[in-house]
Amino acid sequence: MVLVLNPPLLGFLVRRAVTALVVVAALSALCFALLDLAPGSPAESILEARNGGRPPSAAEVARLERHMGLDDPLPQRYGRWVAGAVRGDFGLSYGSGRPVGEILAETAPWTALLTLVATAFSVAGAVAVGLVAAVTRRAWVRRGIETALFVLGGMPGFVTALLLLWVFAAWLRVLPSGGLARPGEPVTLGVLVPHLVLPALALAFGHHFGTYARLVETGVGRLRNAPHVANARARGLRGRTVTARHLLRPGLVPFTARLGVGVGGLMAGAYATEQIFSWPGVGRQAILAARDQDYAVLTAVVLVTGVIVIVANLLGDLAVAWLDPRVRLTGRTSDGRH
Amino acid sequence: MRKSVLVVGSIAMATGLLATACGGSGSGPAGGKSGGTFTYAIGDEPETLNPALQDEHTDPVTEMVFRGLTRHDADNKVVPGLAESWRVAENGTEYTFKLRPGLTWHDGKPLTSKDVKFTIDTVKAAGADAPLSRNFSAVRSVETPDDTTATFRLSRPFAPLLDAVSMGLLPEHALTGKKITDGGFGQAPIGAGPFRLKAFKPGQYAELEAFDRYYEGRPRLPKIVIKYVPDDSARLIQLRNGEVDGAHIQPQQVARAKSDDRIRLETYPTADYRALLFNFKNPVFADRKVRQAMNFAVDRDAVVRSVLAGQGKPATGPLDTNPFRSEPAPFRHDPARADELMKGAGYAKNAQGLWEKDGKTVRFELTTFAEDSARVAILNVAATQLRQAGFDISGTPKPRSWVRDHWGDLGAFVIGWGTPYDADSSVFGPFHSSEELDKGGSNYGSYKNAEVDKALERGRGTLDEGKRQAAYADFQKALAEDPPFVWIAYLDTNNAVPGNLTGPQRRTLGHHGYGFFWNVEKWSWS
Repeated sequence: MVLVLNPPLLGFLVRRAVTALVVVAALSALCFALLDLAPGSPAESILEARNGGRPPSAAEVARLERHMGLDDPLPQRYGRWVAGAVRGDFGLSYGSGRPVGEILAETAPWTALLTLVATAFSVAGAVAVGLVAAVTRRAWVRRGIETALFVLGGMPGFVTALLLLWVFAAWLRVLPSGGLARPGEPVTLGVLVPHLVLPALALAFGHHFGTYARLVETGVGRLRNAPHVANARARGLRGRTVTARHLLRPGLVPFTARLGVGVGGLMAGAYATEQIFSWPGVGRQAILAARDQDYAVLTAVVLVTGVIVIVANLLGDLAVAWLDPRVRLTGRTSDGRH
Repeated sequence: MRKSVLVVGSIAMATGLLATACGGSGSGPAGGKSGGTFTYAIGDEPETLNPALQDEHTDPVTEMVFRGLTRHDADNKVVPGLAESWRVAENGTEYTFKLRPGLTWHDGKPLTSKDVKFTIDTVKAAGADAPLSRNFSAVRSVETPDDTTATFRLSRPFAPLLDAVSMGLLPEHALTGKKITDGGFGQAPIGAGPFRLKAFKPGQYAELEAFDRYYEGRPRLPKIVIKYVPDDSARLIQLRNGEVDGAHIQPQQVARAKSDDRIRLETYPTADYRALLFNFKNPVFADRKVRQAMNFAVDRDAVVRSVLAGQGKPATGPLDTNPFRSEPAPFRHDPARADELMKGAGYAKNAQGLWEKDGKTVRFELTTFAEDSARVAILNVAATQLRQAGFDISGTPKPRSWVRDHWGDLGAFVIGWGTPYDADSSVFGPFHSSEELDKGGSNYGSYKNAEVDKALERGRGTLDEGKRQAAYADFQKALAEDPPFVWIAYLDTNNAVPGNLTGPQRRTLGHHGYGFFWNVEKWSWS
């Protein structure tokens, strides 16, 4: 069914977009203030990096702070940053001296790709597994799935990643262990796909997969004996039609609502996954920037991550609207929120 | 080498996992096959490839792309680099360098003495931006009477100058009108070293090609790829899979790497040491006998065995691996000697088995950067040893950023310094009283000893080899009598290469992560 932008839904969208803008503005201010409160100074980090990790002297640090304008008051620095940011200029990286925008343009697409594919794996896997667990009449199948999900849910993301790496790259040697391609090899689709499999699987399985599958299971299971399903069966509809239209669609609402929120967690997981699989995305960049106190890069990465999470939440809401007529028609979410 | 918390977390995993992993046979190191390319994996990725924005220990790419007027040989002695010879005036305030004839930059432009002048002037002017500018503060001016002659005029004799000019030369034509921190040059540098940078993909790899017009002739390896693989275990997996030919590996991984007979391990000593710094603002460290006792109470061999997996050597001073080393300090694990010194200082063991004098124990907190897993391990082992020996010590790692703001409040700290070349560097700063923390220097423990000060000043102020040797011998003797640190260990560094790669030559490296490619122009496939 096509999603029609009727007035209540349009209003809902506009409200959401305005909120998103306010959130992004608040996020940037908060990020600036928090980084300002953080102990240590970026100048010290930079000099330490240029000194082979050895601590620089206090005089050197003070000189560089003056030179970089880091000793200006916070409002002045924030004002300078906002003036640039609204024109798309996020300044220069403290460490490499490159424009931050350029660094983001280089890394963000790879994180977006990884997160997208991992989400696709997550959705497909969770729906399949959850559905089987919900509709099966064999208790051992359900219990088996529940146990597996429990174990998976308790495993930290980086452990899942290393296990996958060990099985498929080190032991079976069927998939490459990291990067986009072999060095110097052009990154074509045929090269990229095998390199993408392990990090995407690690990200999907390592983050919320268990939760998603359980949400599908309970969402669908709750409806198994619902009157409308009994009615549909009584009308003589085919089993497949009943499952798809009367069980799955309404049963997926809780899962879908959670999925939009979960993308935030997935982004956080991408940071660790990228590090292990040498994936050149924003996550690795963020870890480096945090380590080196490269606040120019860090602020921009936090903002980009924030925007992605907000957009994902919005898409999640739209998907729920598509699945749940109450939202579509009244602009209210299923639990009555605006 | 600095590590993110994440990587540290996964080392523990890796040790467990890889004990069982990597069993099967496979393609193995691809050495010599793929068009002769040598692919090497390393964890740390530099933010810039500009040698003026690093210290004397540069990352492999910068090391291969750039050359300075001088360089160091296998014994860490200064030898000619881009300069074929030099002359030093009697009073030590004038250096005349003669460049090799026909030098060219990687882009084909000629390299002249103007580039020498440009490099020194630029680094000096960069001041705060380039920590290495401190090496040229004595240089008043650089003159270029002709294209191959550069004359440095100094305001005072500065013995480490020949060391300092081993820094890579910068091309004037590529940097005119730009800041030294220019991101473009930092990512696509032009040097005169043995390898030319063909491609640099941040977060992925750097691709280097042999430079045809390198002054010693075209290097024999046609191509080198440096791959950035931050996760330690992933790096070992790639090595064993043959995805890379060589890799920098951690001490704990040595045993696994050795079990593969296609891999040869290159283990080099380094000048990079770890020690426990005393903060002299704490009166508990006032008595030198107490500090000597601690130097006899720690079991350095146990630290090397456990924390460094045997990849290191016990340390007794800052110049143990330096050409200027003299008689080593007598420090070794000797509990009886430690007890004797403590009794001599007026201490007696209390009911808890802790040394006590006038109702006070030798109480202090030992800390270090929580992000550095190796330092934290040293902290734990050393704190346990010293506590068992009767010192009232507690060990608490703190975040790097916290430590940076609290140098003056620390009790003791697991510190790392290293002096591979001239004895002045990374020694004057940490131990001379003019460099005390409160004066803005890098003497973080505010150590002060008149004999040490005098010896260091003598060492830096004369060019006479004999006098310098004597000055640094006096320095080491004074340091042993009045120890500023509890010396722990020098780190070894391990690099895995394919068995058919010849040329890597053992040398005492300045840093445990960098320096392996120092003679790369001589490497080849056998």
